[in-house]
Amino acid sequence: MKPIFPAIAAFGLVAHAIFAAPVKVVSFSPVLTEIAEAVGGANVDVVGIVKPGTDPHDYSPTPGDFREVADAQLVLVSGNGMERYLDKLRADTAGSTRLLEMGTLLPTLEMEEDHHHEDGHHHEHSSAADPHWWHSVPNVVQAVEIVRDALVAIDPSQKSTFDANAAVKIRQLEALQKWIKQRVAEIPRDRRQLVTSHEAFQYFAKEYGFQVEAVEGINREQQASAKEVSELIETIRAKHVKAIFIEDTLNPKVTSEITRETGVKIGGSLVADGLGKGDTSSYEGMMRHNVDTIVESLK
Amino acid sequence: MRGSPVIRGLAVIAALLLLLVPLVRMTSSRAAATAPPPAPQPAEAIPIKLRLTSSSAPFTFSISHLGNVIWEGTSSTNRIEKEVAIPFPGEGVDLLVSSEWETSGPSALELSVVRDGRRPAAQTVWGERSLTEVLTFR
Repeated sequence: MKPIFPAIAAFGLVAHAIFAAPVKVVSFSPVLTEIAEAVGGANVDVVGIVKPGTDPHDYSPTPGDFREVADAQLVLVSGNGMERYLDKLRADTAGSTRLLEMGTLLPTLEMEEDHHHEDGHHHEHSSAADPHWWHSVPNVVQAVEIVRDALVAIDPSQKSTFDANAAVKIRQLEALQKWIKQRVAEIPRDRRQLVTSHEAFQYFAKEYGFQVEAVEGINREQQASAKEVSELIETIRAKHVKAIFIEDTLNPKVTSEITRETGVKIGGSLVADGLGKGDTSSYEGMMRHNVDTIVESLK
Repeated sequence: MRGSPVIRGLAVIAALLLLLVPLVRMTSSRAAATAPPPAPQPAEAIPIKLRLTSSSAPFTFSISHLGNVIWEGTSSTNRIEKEVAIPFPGEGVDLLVSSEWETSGPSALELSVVRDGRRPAAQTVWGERSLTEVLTFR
């Protein structure tokens, strides 16, 4: 009878290892990677595919990325058109893997898109959902709650841990929101004109009381036409804009042309898409950098 | 063509030199010629009355506008008011309000802004022992 005890003990160890295995999360957004790590803690294995400093508009998944997705229980994407490979991901996650398109679960702002045709004359307007939801801290608080609920649905045994971790993250975000409001209050409300390279700051503008103008469209492929640049120059002059802002991952050529035409100064470089490098590689670091840059130039 | 080749050559050089002036103007950077945008005219400061009402007294308070303290002090009564002059553009103003109480438990603080010819605007915030909030008035 003796040999049965080690066998039972071994079975128990194997069973524990299986049931205590961390939830595997694959994230295509550096902001969501940070949230999943914070909420999941040691109970979640997070694979961040799009790293801080990478433009998520341009990222193309590798075969290795899709292999990571294959055995993930939860896949996180920004959504609202940020990931052009989303249809492929949807097909790959049609089975047991849950795909969470965060942008579609949050209050969405629409933005105008111009489609220029090759004849150089004809172009169409349409509207599309703005995917840059994380530039509003309350949206990120909601994203934390959504990720928490998704993790609890996958592993209900860890509910208390996920709840506690989410509460800590939300308190940090509320403190950040308070700090941003205090910093932005240093700019007179009639001077809150935010002119940036591409249209990424609508959520920021709505949350913190700015009027926003962009040189280019949602992404780099929507290059500004001569007419649009000329109209923007007129707006900058008419509204006495103090400074314009370029973004880390965008070509500042057109922006430089506008500064030459108007004499307006370049306020600095903002992190528009995902997270940046160094001090801006965390969500809080990125937001603090953007807010400090804007406030110091416009106040 | 008639005339000396030397004269014809000089005429061609003179024509090229004349063309050079507009060409240089068209291709040179305009940075130096572009004046910076005129400074925006700040909104004119107008007198407004600020009124603080606290659920408990005494309380210490501070109100800032654009990073400058415009009113601060300690009040032994629940209600206190003061007239200040600040620019009040159509887009509104943000006032940073801080307060501290000696009592424990939640306390409420109401800030009213009264402008000539307009209905008073008031907002209430809550804090336990202290609070710091940005309030927007339009």
